Amino acid sequence: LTAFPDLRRHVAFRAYGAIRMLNWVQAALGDIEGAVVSGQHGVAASQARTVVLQCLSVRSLARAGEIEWDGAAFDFFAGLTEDEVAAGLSLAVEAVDLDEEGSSDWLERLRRYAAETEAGLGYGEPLPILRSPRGPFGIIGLARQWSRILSELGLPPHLPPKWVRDAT
Amino acid sequence: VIVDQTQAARLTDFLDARGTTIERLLETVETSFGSPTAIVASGSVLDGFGNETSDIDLNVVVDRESVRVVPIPAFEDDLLVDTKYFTVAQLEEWIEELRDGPWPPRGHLTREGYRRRYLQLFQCVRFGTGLIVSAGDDCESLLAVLREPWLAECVVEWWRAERVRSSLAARWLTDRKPLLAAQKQCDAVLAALERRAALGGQLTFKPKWLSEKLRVLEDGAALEMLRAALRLPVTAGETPDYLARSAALLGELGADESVDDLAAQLWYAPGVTVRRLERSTLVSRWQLRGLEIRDAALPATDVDEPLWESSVATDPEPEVLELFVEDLTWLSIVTRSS
Repeated sequence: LTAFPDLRRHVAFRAYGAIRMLNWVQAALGDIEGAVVSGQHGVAASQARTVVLQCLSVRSLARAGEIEWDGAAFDFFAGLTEDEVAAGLSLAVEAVDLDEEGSSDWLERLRRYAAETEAGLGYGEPLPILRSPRGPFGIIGLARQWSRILSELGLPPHLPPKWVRDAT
Repeated sequence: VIVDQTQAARLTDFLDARGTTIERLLETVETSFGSPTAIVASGSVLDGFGNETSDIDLNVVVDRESVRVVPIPAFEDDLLVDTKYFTVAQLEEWIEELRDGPWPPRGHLTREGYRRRYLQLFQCVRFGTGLIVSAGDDCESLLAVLREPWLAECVVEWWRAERVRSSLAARWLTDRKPLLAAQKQCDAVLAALERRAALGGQLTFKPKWLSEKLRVLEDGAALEMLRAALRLPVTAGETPDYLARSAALLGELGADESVDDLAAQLWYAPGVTVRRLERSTLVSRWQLRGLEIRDAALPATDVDEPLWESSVATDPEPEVLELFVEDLTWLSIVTRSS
């Protein structure tokens, strides 16, 4: 059982948090894995920032975060404590001075951080992998799962409704 | 029709290593949406930045009036092939808008206009810098237009406006949300570096590849600036030093040039509602969070005008600034009307 004080906030967290994990965190983690192996440390550092900021923004959705993230004042940290923010940002900054020796340990900690963020969404099983043959159907499945309640609550849809219809 | 031998060799080597070929790649192109009149391959592999998790992007122009397609990628064993379909008319319209419409524009710029420009640039850069795998006569001339110097100028203009937008956001956030201001200031430095890379001919429109673009340009100084920008503060106490350091970086990148030609506009963000409550105004977004502003009236949300507009050197009045800080507005940069 999960008790929540506000239905809209709870739905926003679970619904948009999942899509943010699929669209941003999964892809950026994949980029980092490829970049670390190829010695593209600049790419790893840039995408580490993306992973951490998006994970923080997902965690923040449970408290005070905004569901649309493209504004110039979008606050990745809304409602989070200073310690939570510092822990995440430190992981991203560490990537700037990454070398071959420390990269696998750092990558493991980053993966764990992302996995903890995803687990917090309460899906009970791992989210579908977007960059996989079944991935796009996974995202459409999530969009369908949430579309009715999002519409009922007057919240914006996950995907353009046309996509969901066309994929039916 | 393969016109760039370097790109062709990169693609062939990448596919060879995965036991496949360009021909098999092309077999993944769906023809039920219309017969392809041009196929352009793009992505990090073609740009020379590829690594083992890279995918291949196929940009397909089809001979029909409209395409309504869910972008579903194909897989060739472990290789992800991300294919998008466009019409000739779309490409013609985008070229005209980009080439003939300076950026930032004069007049009003809404979030939709901003997003449209971004998508046009993103896609036209792919068509303009990718490998032309096949093209019919009509499309070949369109693709040739995209290889003219104006496209690079559009990319340079875009990043200049982005730098100004992010710097302004950082300035307006510094007092109330210093850690967030530092992130925006970082974005400003990255935009200035993107502009520098574009001036050097590196147009790829994906932020993650900035370091690789600078590496290809052998721009060691810029790479060092990038690393410095990414050493972001993790506590509010560290932000004043970071903001000072990144302001110096922006100066080195020539971002202290005059911006007298530019103005800022604030629009209500999507999902914002405004309600009067006696002498107060309640502003909320998606009814999840909001602000109560006392003794101030704000315009209705259905007005087709920005909430506030002024030169980028000017700060908004406190209640409007608070709307920005609370992410209840959309910030646009425009060219000032004379």
